[in-house]
Amino acid sequence: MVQRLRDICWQVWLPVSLGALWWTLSLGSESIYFPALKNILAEFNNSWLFEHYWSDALPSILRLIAGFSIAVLAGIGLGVTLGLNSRLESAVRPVIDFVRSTPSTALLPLFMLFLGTGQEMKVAMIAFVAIWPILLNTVDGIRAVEPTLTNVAKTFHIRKSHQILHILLPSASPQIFAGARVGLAIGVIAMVVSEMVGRPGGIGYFILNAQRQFDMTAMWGGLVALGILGFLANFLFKLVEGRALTWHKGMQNRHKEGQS
Amino acid sequence: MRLTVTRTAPRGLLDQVAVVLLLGATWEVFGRSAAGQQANIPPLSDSLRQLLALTADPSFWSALGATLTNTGLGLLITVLIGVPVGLFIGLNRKASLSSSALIDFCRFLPAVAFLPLALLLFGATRDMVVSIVVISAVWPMLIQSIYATEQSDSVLQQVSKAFRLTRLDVLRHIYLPSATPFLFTGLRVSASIALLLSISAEFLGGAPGLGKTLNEALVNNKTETVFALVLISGGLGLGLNAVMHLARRRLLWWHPSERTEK
Repeated sequence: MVQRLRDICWQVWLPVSLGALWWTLSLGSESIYFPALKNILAEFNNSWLFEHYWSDALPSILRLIAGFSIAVLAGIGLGVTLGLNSRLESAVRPVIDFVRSTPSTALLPLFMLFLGTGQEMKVAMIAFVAIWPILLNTVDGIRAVEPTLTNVAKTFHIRKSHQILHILLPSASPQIFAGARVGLAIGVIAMVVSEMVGRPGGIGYFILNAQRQFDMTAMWGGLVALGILGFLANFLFKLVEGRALTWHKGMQNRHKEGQS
Repeated sequence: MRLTVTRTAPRGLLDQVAVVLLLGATWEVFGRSAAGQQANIPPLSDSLRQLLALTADPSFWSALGATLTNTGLGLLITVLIGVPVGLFIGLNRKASLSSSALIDFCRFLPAVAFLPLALLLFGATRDMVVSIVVISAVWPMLIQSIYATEQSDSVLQQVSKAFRLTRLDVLRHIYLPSATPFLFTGLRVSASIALLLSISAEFLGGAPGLGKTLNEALVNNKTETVFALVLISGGLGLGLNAVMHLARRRLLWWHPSERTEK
């Protein structure tokens, strides 16, 4: 019990003291670039809760959800197809490697040429960027399924669709979730970048616009909002992952106990 | 008894070439079609021609050099900061408890969001690009370094205690060899992030480099140049991966993962 309390203290002291340090150091701040933390938080309180939330944060969140969902569905779908069909997969590998290695900002002009600068471009950008880790991890996960499982399925003449849904996908799900986590992180980056170059609207645009108008307090407020958004997105994702992969954690813990 | 016949070329290669040719043909046809003209998409042949024209242009080479320098410099600073700090945090339980909340928060903060601030502080210069690259690439490197310290074999640790090895010896002979593969993975991830953020910061901020060239081409509606630059960026990304792969083969030749039959 005491050890737990001590651990919590150790976890908490650094963020709290850094926050306090920032607060006190910036209290009398005259610099335009680094306004007082007090003012930033006041501004955040005023505008983001809840006025700007509706106009800027919510559209961004919705776009992120839309893009990420497309990436997950398409990524898993294509991943399963490629994972099951190794000839197709090796044939398409070079193209996938090429497109995946291209820095996504370089692809931004392509999206702008095809889709303009509106909602579709932003959602498409998020989906396109986030799909690759999911796709590749799904392929790896499907490939790595225990051959025993597939052999048993064949022996029992289980239908292919059932095999995929009930054997392959659950077995590959730790890998898929790992890929989805990476995809979420880069999806957030793509969201910010696409909003910075696209039509007005969204957190990314808000931050850039605030800087253009030299409203630094608003800019920092936007950064805080973005940080919270990213943190919440990953926190929620971890919750979902934790529920879905309880069996996997149990297996890993048993292995660890077996080793030590 | 059956004699096996050896093939001269790997079977998959034909398939791969076929896919690439098919995609190239589709692009070419689409670019020449009415829909392609309307969407302002140049056919593959025009883009490739523009690519060749670019290689003759000295300003392209200086832009490429700027991007590579930004990436390299940012990566160097990232490694210099990320590896020691990560190793320290990983080996020191109190440090790891203290920093876990901070790292978990900062790693998900998109570095591009700091671009406006960096623009104000540094202007559209190399410093701006490198600072953005470092802010974003340092987190994967840090996290991998911390992860790397957890991977060492407990038996080896007990052996080092039994032989009363000094701290330095423990670091050199136990932690570093087991940590190096993970450090390398971190380096690979950080390298791609560094390239991506380099181009992004140049594109959004206007600092000299491939990103800025791309932006200018886009704004002036020179679509062949845009596509040529996209192809070049893809090549850069592939080249970076290839370099990392070769470097891993050279540096980690002793590690089981490199020595097992593939």
